[in-house]
Amino acid sequence: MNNNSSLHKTTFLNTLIFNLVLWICSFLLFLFVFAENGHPKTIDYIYTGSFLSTIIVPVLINFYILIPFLLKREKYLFYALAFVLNVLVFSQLNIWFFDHLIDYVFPEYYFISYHSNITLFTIFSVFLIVTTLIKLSVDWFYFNSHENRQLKMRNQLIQAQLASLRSQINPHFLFNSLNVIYALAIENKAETKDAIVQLSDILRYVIYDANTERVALKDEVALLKNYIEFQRFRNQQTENITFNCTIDNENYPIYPMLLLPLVENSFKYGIKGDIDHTFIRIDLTLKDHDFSFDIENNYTESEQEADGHSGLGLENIEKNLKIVYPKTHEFKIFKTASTFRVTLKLFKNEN
Amino acid sequence: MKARKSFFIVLVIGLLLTSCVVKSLHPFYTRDILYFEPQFVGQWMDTDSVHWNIQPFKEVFLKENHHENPSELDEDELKTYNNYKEGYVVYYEKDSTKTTFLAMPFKINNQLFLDFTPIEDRESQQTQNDLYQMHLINTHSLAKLDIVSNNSASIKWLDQDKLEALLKADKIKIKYEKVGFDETILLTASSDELVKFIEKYMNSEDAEKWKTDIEFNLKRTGEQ
Repeated sequence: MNNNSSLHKTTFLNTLIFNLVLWICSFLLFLFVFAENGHPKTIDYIYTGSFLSTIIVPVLINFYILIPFLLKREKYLFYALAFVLNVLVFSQLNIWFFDHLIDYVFPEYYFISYHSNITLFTIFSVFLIVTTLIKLSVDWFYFNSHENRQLKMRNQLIQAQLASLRSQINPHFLFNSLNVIYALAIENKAETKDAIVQLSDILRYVIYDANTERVALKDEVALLKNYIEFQRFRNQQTENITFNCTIDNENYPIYPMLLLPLVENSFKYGIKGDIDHTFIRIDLTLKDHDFSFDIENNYTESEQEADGHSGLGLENIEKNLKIVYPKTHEFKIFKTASTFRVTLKLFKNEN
Repeated sequence: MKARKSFFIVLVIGLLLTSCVVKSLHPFYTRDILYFEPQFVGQWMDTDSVHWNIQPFKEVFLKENHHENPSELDEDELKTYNNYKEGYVVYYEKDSTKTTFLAMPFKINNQLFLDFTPIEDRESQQTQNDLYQMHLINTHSLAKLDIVSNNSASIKWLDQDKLEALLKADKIKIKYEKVGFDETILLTASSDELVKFIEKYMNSEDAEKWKTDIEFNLKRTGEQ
């Protein structure tokens, strides 16, 4: 309510300033046109003021009725007709009544050689056309500023959303990693210190390197390999984890931390879910800018459903993709009774 | 020295002769307000015993071109005839000098006016050489005509002082130029604008708006 009131107040103020500037400039312009020799006299001031008062009405009709209701609603033909009618009616009214009125109000002045009727029609036409162009320019200026403000706001909103999503991923990942190290430490395994170093490398990447709009695919692949190696400390059946990576451009730019949640998800619900038939298969390919990531793991329905946060990682990825790869990605989930597969494709035109 | 003195005398005489009436490049009338008043035709004498002979232009024109009726006129003549057929030819005789004017009568708000243009000045033409004549241009002047009765009429020219007073007070916007050594005001406004000016001037609250030194009270001296 306050915002609306403030907006109306600003609009009113802008309209007031616009009209004030327009009519002051118009007064000066007409004054020097009517004075002809560049030295306006009292009679010229009176005539200019009086003349301007008759042209204000058609101009305001044009500004606040014809332009918003016809021109801006793309009724161009109706606008053109209404515009011509506006000029004709008010110039004719001026021809009929203005001289009598000004003579009645200022009987002691002789307003003789100002303009002919044809000139008057030209003045009305040109003035209305010029003021229309000025009005449209000013409106465009305001529209553009408004658009820019909207874009900035939208951008800020997206940035906030992205930051929010990342902040949901990082603690999630950290929580899982600490669990892994905790498990190693409990068993007093010698690999604990190596695991801590690897986690440190992963976190360095997550905290410092991933805070850009895009990273090189090789860095993202290195992260995944690090993560998989890290997970090997925890899981015995690591021979069932395959990571096939075929890329023709290792500097292919990609949104950071896009793939890790998918791998995390597979480890969480695949390896952990079914000890006997665990597997994770990851196929990453990049050929001619067409990126494809295909990950599949074993799946037990009861395990997935028992976890209250089961869908959080995938949901975050989907939200992220809609923002960072709008209409240039394909994200699909395939579920069978025993397998869970996710495919992600990024299309060529994004890059 | 002598030449400078002569020039000065000519200039002073010129000033005396050319001041007083408002002069215009364009006629003070438009065709739609022309109004031929037959009562004005005839022989008149003013208070200074100056003889005025007023004749309809169309009759004088046909007579001078040796025709009986307009159908006999050629194209150029017919054009002139049609342009001025509502007018009068005014023969003005003063102190054995004869000048001829074209006076176009017109009516604004039921008031008769005459637009005067000099046509011929026999004496001047005899004394002035061709080169001098080539530099002269005839202007229009405005006179208010009141036909008081069948035998009396008055003609009052619009005084230049009145126009100058309006211009000086910045109360009039009308096209004009100042010409010559004496900076005589020459109106350059169009005929439409001049008619507009006369209409406005007629409604002026100035009680002495037609007061002028150039005023003639005429008495009829013969038949119409």
